[in-house]
Amino acid sequence: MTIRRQTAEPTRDMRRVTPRSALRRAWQHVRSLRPMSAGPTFAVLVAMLVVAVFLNAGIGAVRVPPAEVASVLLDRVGISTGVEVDMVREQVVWGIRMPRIVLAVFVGAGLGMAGASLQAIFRNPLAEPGLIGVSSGGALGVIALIITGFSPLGWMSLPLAAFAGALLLTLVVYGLARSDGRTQVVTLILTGVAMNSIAGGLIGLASFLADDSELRSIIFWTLGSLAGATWSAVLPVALITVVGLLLLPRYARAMNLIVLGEREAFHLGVRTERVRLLVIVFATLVTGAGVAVAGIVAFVGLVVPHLLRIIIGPDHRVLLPASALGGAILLLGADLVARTIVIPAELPLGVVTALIGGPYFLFLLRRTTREQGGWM
Amino acid sequence: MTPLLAADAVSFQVGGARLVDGVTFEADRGELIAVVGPNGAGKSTLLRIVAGEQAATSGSVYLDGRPIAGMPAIEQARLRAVLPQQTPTTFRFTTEEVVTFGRMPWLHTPESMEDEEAVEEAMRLTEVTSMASQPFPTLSGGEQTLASLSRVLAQRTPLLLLDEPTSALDLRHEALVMDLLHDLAERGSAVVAVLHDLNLAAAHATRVVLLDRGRVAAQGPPREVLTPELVSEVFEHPVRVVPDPVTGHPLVLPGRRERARVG
Repeated sequence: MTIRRQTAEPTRDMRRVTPRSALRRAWQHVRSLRPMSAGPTFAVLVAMLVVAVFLNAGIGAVRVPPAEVASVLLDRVGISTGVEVDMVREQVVWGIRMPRIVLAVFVGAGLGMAGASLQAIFRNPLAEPGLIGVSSGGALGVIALIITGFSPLGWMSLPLAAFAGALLLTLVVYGLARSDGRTQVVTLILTGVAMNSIAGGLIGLASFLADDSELRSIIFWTLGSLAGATWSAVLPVALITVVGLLLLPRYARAMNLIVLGEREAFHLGVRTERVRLLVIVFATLVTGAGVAVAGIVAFVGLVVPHLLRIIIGPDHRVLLPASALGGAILLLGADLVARTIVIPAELPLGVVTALIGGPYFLFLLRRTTREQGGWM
Repeated sequence: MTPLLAADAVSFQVGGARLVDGVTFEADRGELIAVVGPNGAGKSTLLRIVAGEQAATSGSVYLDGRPIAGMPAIEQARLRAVLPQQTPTTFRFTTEEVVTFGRMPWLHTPESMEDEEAVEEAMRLTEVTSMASQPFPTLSGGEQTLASLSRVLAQRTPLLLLDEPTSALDLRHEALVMDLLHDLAERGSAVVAVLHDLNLAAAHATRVVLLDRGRVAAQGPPREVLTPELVSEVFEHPVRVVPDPVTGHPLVLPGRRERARVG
């Protein structure tokens, strides 16, 4: 089958393009590239990120051509391009769309890098921020605040509650899964499943008790959305996320060894328990901050590292920054869809990422189980 | 001079079971020590304890004269390298990447100057150079063992702890690995290997530690430990021991057990 497809005449092949065959060919192309060297991969990812930023800044109820977007952005850093942009469009690009873009970039980058890191330290492809309680813990913190109306720290209360909830639930999961100074990965994942279901129950209970306006807020948090983005809400998230994005790659080498094997990592001088705890805290930092403003965004942390591992291989020194870029690109794309597909209304972002991520993940799963060997 | 590795009355207990019971042995530069014994005798557990993975319930382990309890992982990693029975990764690191991981303990030290040379030499000695760019999980069991051994050699530590280094290997590679360990010991390393095959132990080890239900049944030169009486008793199976017609090393030949006939 495969051989015939490769030797078939181009014209005949062209006629028979089905979505299925196109996907298959794209997939074979991706496989043949692996392992791609780091340089070209980063160049492609950065180019995609720039394109995604321009698309998100330009598309919507008000269309803004790329030249004007560039003009608005360059104007901000003091470079005059001479392209005239009217006030309304400038306000749309800078005041409305850019905060949202920046939020998407940082939330996506955080989810992507946190996903890659957690998959490494748990040596498990199922690990993602949601699984060990980061997302539901964060949402729980926020919902507790919404229901009680308790807000001691003004606008900082929500992000802090999200972060505290995320860290608390993650540490509970980690603590319960730990025994005798060690953490069994399977125990940890099962504990995560159990705690997530408890958190889900509490969120359900909160929705049951909530009045109408509280209910809308709760739904907003659990489905995820970037609609709340303003510069003042985005900047703290960006700052916190940047700290985590800079700290996690310090453990890339240790992650490589842990992925090889936990015993092997210890034999090679890695303090595995310490690395694991720190990576959990930093992964919570980058995702908890995002959850605070954007709610639960499903699947990004799971899908992005997988896809990139297939393309560039499992070396975390490359994989971590690449996953950050990939997460940012995916979230920008998803938000563009969420914003534009049902104009003038807006789909919740978490719905879009789950609807893109779920089937895509299944596709990857089927494809790679059919081929021999692991896919990580 | 203090021995490179010393286990002093090491015991390990889980629940009610004593897996390792008062084991004392030493390994020094120039020695190739074979740890042998029946299944469940505590060989791998003992190796985990001296590798610092598992704390002994009682007794102490000394690495280069210092107790390993509380010794930082990185310092242990610069003194000893460990070959586990299997390396279970499914992540597609290439063989060369895996071997290069052996250099991690030397990161940011003057020794990292040797990185390339150490990796190249380790791959050549274990004959995995031709698989350098193959993903590790796609290698066969025996090839994975060789690649992991290559990683262990690349670490360039004075002490090597190996858990059944030959069990997945064919005849030729078994000989290759045993000769390699022999050479390493002759050039001043200390090698401790858990071996299943008593004849390999007899032919290559400078000393044999025979374990029986967690205790040391005997230790010493192969000729003194691998006697028909001791081996038959510990393995609960009759054996004959004859000298190898060429080398004179003891050859352990399993005999036939008296069996109740069916019918």
